[in-house]
Amino acid sequence: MTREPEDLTRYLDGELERDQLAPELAAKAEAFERLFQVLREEKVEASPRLREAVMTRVRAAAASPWRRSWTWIATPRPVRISPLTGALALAAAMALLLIARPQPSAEPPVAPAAAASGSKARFVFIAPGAKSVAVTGDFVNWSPEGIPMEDRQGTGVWVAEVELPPGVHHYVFIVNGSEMVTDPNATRVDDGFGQQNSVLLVPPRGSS
Amino acid sequence: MPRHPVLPLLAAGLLAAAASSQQDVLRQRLDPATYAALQPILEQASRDSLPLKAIEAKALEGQAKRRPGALIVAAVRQLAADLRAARLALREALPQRAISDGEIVAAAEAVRQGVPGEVITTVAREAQPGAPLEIPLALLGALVSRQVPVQEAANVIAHMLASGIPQERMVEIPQRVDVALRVGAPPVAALGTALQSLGIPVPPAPPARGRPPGIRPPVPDVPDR
Repeated sequence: MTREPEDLTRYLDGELERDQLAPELAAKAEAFERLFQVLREEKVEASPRLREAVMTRVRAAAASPWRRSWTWIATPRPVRISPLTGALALAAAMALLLIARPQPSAEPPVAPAAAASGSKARFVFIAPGAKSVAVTGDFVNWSPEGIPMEDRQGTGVWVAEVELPPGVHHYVFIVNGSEMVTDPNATRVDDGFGQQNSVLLVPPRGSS
Repeated sequence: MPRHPVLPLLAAGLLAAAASSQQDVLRQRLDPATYAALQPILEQASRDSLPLKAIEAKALEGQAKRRPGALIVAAVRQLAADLRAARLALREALPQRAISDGEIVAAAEAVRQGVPGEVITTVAREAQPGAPLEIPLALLGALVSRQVPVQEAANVIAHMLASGIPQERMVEIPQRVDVALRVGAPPVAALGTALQSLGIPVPPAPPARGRPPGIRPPVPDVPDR
């Protein structure tokens, strides 16, 4: 940038007086001042078409709300917190996580994955008039809802296959969501509550 | 001091949150009074190395069956006592061998079904070294619950343990006994039929008096010279 335009710029910015300018620059400064006077005295309006053209281009260049949001989220920003604040925030998050853990799910419980030495047990219960039958026992922590059984043929023969670890398992069937009954084809034992449980023996796999 | 001290804290917190114990399930499903009443029983059971999972499962069973809290506590307390006695009976038979929780639970259940503790001890002594006892003891209780006399049932179980009969064949016995019982066979005959159908040799009947064959008599003490 040459010296002369810089002096003119400084004059226009109010940093120099006109008599501090070189004569050729003073003439230019006077021309600028006449232009400014016109602008101050006359109301200048842009044509509607100009205005609309400009706004159309502005709107086209503007980012959508989603894009603006993504840009804001994705832009790295420096964050400064003290170790004490960070530790307190972490402790609060852990406390919320422990307190707000979901209640036992209404989804059908899943029996524990049988070890390689367990086997698949087939539970069968005949209840032609039942609307639902489930099986519950120690293998699902005695879930009140149990594992749903299926009557695929619609004949009242309810079946469920459950992977069970080897050992002795106690169970009952839940008919229509509430009535607990023992398996008529299994060993029965006193449950300690004045009722009975059915017993299923699952041998270790490969015990032959 | 690690460069990122928050990371170990975060890892520890996540591990603690992820560890969902049986205690959490108990606390969620039982009413506060029942849960509190169970704590001393559970703590003592833990100190006595009893099968804690089985005891906690009994409490959850009571809740699922909508039993009153007092009944749940009583059932859990009784189960703990049964398990304690069962473990003693097994320890007498197997002083050097580790006894599994499943074996203790099966022994307690057999006692509840009418098998005397001393018969549990006698039968357990017949097992081959290292052979698991959970299924055989549960089977013993299952036979007695079907009105097979205790000594007959104990003799059969002891014979199978000594012979190394596979447990996959043992577990078939109760249902086959049921089939024979349904057609009118007396319990002992039904058991014999079930054994024959599975290809398991029928042991000779125990004598009317004294110890049944196959049950080793105790070794008499021989004083040192």
